[in-house]
Amino acid sequence: MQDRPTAEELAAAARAALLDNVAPSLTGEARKETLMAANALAMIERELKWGAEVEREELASLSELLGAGEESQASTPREQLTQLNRRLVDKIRGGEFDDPGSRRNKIARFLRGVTIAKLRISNPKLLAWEEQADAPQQAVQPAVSGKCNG
Amino acid sequence: MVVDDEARARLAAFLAPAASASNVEIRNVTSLAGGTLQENFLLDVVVSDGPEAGARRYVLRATRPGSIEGSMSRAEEFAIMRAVHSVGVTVPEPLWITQDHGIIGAEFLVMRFVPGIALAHRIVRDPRWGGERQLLAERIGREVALIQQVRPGHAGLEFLPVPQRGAAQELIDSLRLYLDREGTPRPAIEWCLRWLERNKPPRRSPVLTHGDFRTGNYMVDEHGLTGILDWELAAWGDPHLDLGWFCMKFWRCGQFDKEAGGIADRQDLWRGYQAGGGRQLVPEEVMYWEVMANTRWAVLSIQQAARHFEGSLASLELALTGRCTAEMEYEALRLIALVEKGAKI
Repeated sequence: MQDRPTAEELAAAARAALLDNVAPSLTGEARKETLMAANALAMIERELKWGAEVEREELASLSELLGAGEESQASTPREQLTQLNRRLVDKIRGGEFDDPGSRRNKIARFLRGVTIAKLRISNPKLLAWEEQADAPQQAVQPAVSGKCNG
Repeated sequence: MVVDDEARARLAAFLAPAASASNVEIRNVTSLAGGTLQENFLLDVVVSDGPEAGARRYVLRATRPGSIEGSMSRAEEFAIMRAVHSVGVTVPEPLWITQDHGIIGAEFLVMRFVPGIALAHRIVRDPRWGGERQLLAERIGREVALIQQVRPGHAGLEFLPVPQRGAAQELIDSLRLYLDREGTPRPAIEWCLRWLERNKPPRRSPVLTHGDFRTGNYMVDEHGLTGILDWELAAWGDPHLDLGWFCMKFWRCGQFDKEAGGIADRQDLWRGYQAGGGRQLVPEEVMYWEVMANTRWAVLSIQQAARHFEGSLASLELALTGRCTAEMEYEALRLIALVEKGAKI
C-alpha cells in the first residue's frame, strides 16, 4: 500500500509549491511555463479523482447506446472504449443518425455528456460558465439581425 | 536559435545591400515571443545611407529548426504579406526575404517593426490598449474585408492551391483525412463533420483568408490596430472563414460573453466587415463557419499535441493543447444543437 501523500495530494502540493513559491518571483516565459505546469498538475489531480469514474460511465453509456451484441473483445476499459468509439464513428459517418428524431437526439446527448465529462477534468471554470450561461436559456435569446448596416 | 557575433556580421552584410546602403550596424538583437514554428527577433540597427538611412527597428522572422513539413516557408509568408500590404491591409511592411540558411542558420524575412502589443490576455482585459472596443472590432472587420480583395490570380501567390470542390468540402475532407491517419476515434468531431457536410451553404468564390485571425495575432497600441501578424496559415477560402474563426469562444481569452475575439459583439465585427466592402452577411452562413472553425481547431489541437508526443518538439504548451480539444467539441456541438432547435444565436 502506497504511503501518503496520495497521488492526488502530491499533485496538489506540487501545484501549490509552484504557484505560491516559484511563480511570484518569475516573469516572462519562465512564469508562463510555470503557470502551465501548475495547470497541468490541477488537471492531473482532477483526473486522479474522477478519471476512472468518467471512463466507466462513458463505457456504460456507449455500450447501452450501441445495443446488445456490440460487446467489445478488448480487455482494458480504455481498449474497450476505443473499439466502441470506433464503431460509433463508423455509424456516424455512415449516416445512421442523420434523420431528426429520438435516436439522433440520444447520440447528441451522449456526445455532449462525454465532452462535459472531459471538461470537468480539463477546464472546470469554463464548464461552470457554460452551466450558468445555459440556465437562463428559456429567456429571450438576442436575435441576430440580418441587417448589419453601419 | 542564438544569433552569435559571426551570425550578426553576416546578417549586417546581408542587410546593407538589401537596404541599398553602404553599411548597416546592428546595435542590438532581442528575442521576441514567437510561435512554435518561427522565431522572431527585434533588430536595432543604424543604416548608413540610402532610403533606410538612420536608426531603424526591424523584426526578423526565421523558421525554427524541426518545423513540420507542409508548413509555409518564410518566402511564401513574405509573398502573402506583400499581397495584403499592397491592398492596404494593416500589416507590418514586409521588406526583405532570404532563403540562404548560411546567414543565421535558417531562412528568414525582415519586416518593419510595428509598435504595440499582441498579448491576448492583456488586450482583452486592459482598456488602455486598442482604443474603444467596438471601434476596434469594426476596424478588424474592415481589415477582413480588405484581405479578401486579394483573389486567386494575384501575382506572387501561385503557390496557394485553389479549392476545386468548394472550400467547405475540401476542409471537411482534409480534417477527416488527418483524423484517420492519427487513428483515435473522435465521435464528437465526426458528428460535427457530418453536420458540416450535410448543411453546406452555397459555394462562394474563394478569397484570401488569414487562416488564424484571432486576438493574439494582431497588434494594438493605445489607440487602435497597428498590425496583423502570423500569416503562415493563409489560404484561398470562403469569405466567412476568418469571421467564424475570430469569434470562436476559445479565442475570447476568458471574456466569454465578448463574442468577437473577447473584445466586442459579433455585430460590431460584421458591421465593420460590411462597411469595408465585405459581402452581405447571412447570420446562418456565418455561424456555419463558426461551427467549422471550432471543428477545424479541434482537429488542429490534436495535431499540435501530436507534435509533442512524436518528439519533434518537447513542449508542455503543445501537450496541454491536446486537452483543449474538448472545449472546441463542446462549442461546436452546442452551436449545432442551437441551429437544429431553430434558436437564434
